[in-house]
Amino acid sequence: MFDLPFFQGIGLVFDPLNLLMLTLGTFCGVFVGAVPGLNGPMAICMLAPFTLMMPFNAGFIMACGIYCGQLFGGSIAAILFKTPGTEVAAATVIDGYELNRKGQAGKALGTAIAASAIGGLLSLIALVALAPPLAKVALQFGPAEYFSFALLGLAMVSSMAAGSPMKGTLMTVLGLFMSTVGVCSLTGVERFTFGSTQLLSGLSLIPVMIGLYPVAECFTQFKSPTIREATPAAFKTAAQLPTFKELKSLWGTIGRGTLIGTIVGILPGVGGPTAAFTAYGVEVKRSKHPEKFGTGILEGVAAPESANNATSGGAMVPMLTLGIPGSLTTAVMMGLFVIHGLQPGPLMLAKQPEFLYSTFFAMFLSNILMIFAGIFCVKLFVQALRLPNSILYPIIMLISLVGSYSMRNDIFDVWISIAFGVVGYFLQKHNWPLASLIVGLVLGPLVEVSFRSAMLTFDDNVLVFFTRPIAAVFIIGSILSLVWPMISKAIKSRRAATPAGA
Amino acid sequence: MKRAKVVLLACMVGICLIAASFAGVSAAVKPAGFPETPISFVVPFGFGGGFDTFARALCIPARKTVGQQINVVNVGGAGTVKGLIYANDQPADGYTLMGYEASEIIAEVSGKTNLTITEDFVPVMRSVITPCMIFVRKESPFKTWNDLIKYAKKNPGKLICGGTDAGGLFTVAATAIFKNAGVDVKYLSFADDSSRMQTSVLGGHVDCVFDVVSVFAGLVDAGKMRALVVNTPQRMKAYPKVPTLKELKIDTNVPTHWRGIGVKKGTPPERIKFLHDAFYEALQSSVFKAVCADTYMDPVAGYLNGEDFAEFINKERQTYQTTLKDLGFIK
Repeated sequence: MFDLPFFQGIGLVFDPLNLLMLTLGTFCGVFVGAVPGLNGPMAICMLAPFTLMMPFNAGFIMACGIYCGQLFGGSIAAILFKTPGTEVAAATVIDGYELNRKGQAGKALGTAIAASAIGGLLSLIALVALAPPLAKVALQFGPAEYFSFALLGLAMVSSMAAGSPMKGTLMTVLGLFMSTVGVCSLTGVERFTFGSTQLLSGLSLIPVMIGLYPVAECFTQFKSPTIREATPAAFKTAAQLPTFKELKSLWGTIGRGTLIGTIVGILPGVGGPTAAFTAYGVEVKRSKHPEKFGTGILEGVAAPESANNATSGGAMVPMLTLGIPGSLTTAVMMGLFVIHGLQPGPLMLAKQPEFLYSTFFAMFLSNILMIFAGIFCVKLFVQALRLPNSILYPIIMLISLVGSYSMRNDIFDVWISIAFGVVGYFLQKHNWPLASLIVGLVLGPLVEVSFRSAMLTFDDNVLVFFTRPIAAVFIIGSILSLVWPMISKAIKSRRAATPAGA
Repeated sequence: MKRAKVVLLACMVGICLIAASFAGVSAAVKPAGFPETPISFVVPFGFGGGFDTFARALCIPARKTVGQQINVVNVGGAGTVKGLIYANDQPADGYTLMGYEASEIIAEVSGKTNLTITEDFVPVMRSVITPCMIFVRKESPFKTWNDLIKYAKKNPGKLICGGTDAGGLFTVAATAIFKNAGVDVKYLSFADDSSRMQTSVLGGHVDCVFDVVSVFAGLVDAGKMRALVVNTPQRMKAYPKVPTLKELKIDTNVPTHWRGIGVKKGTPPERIKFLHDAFYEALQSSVFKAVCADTYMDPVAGYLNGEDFAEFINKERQTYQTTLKDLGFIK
């Protein structure tokens, strides 16, 4: 490993131009991540023509910076304004915004920054140490494995709404149902479109999410404005990085989040939101005090944030070893290769081994730079809190709706956002967990497509989920995670009963 | 050599950008007062896909030949229908270009939209064709196309062919090729997720896949995948060992993969002519040709002028009508 290409790779990143581009890219990434309607793929697409004027490495290293930065950026707006800046920050809203309401925005943001950076760094170490075996893992996943993995994710998030499991489950099912609207991705048949052309492409995640979170929140604020003076304390909020002691207590959460994020990142077609929600669900399951999730605790921020940044290392594995992008952002990054006349893939690695290392170091450094970029951008965004709520919330609503429009340049998405804003307002008023609905929408396509693909591949034989080893492990895991709470309850009550009877 | 190529490309683009600041350097005859403001190029797909790459690459030299800024507008969704509706809502003044692709014909034939790219829009030119191949992984027992067909004939309905769309171009073309070869296969859609399709075929979860060459070129060059057949009339220069459909005696009346440009009906003819000439010149530029070489698009065999393109679209429409009916996608 520590051979010439390794040091050439480091040297490349520390080239002054490349270092400048990396810093620029990271700041740029955090910023576009924080603003709803701007995202990493878009930024890299816009960057593409300019990279033709610089050496390929400088352009690619800048894209690496944007990629890492935007994965964190979304959480700034999620915590401060209940507006997930990117879809991967959807799970961060749950506890992040509650922490903000408790007056601990600085703490939440600091934890998000630390968890993101650690998640990103650890997954990169996994990337460089284990790239070839990890790439094999990606190839082991066929439809049966994808389905059982998605089912495990669903089992994990089922307990997310700890306060009201019944309401949570109902909302998840509603989300799953909503994901079936539109053209069926396996047969091309139209479902629940009511003859409308607009509904052909279904209800996409971002417009729905923008409706349920920021728009609904704005409606709530209109109805019962919380009078908030523009106090200097609010707009002087700075990100407080967690202390060593706090970090120690979050260590397990961040570790599990990183593991989940890295695995999800390797699998094409399973995105950052799935990683974030699954990590959150796992923490709720494992926690000794699950009822505290959703009321604003640091674990609820650290889990999704470490997971979504850890997808970056994972997603690089199939891209660098096989030339297969693991996510939309990496697909756009691969576009950079093409316009520069390079063919990413196994051959490129053989010819330019230093490239793998320079990417690794660029992303590694970017995750460290992100801490500074994060602190800087938080300072920038809290300035918005100088405005009283009566002005701030209409602005948030406007920006969110523009963000909803800009995803596909489609005005219909704005109507979806407004409709879900109304729905979200009433759901929230009656304490129905909105996050569970979003989870259903996130996991729905994966569950459905992989199950039906498996049935087509294996001639409707349901037993494949148990005969294929990887699938069986996930399926048994998901059954256990659903049944275990009941078993442990039964055991406890028996234990409690025995001494009494003796 | 790669480095030289990059530097060359960078220089060329630099020159283009400088040239773009002088209006009227192009040979195309400019109609009076057109274009005065930036032009939009509607891409009926999202960021980063094949069509997006094509449009953005073509717009780099076209900015010079048109003498105006050209903005790529991605209006994806509903199998190109949203893009069509968007472009149809713009005035017919030549300031909005519509990206043409076979999916638009399929959307029309399968009744998803009333807009047709020959009636509501005017075809300006077909710019490129994109060769497609059937691929298997290195470990696959199928060394040649005949191995594959022999197995499929012995085990009807067992062979699984993957593709990215459902009821779209790849579905129709792949199923039609196998049907013309006299075998019955299962088509598995990967729901626009090309990456999952690639890992699935590499992991042996599907037997073969049908896709454009650019997606699998890296894996083929590295020896991890094998191409069995190409759908172009002649063998590709880059892959001279891959036989064509015709050589394998398969009926070649199957849809092909192409990309082109059109404008809304009612656009003044002199503007259409200008846009055609300007984009034709962009098509010949070395910048675009370099991108074509890297992404395996063919601008030479691909080019058709507006009238021929319209005729071609009408022919394709008939192919789709019969194939989609045969395959049971439409009644």
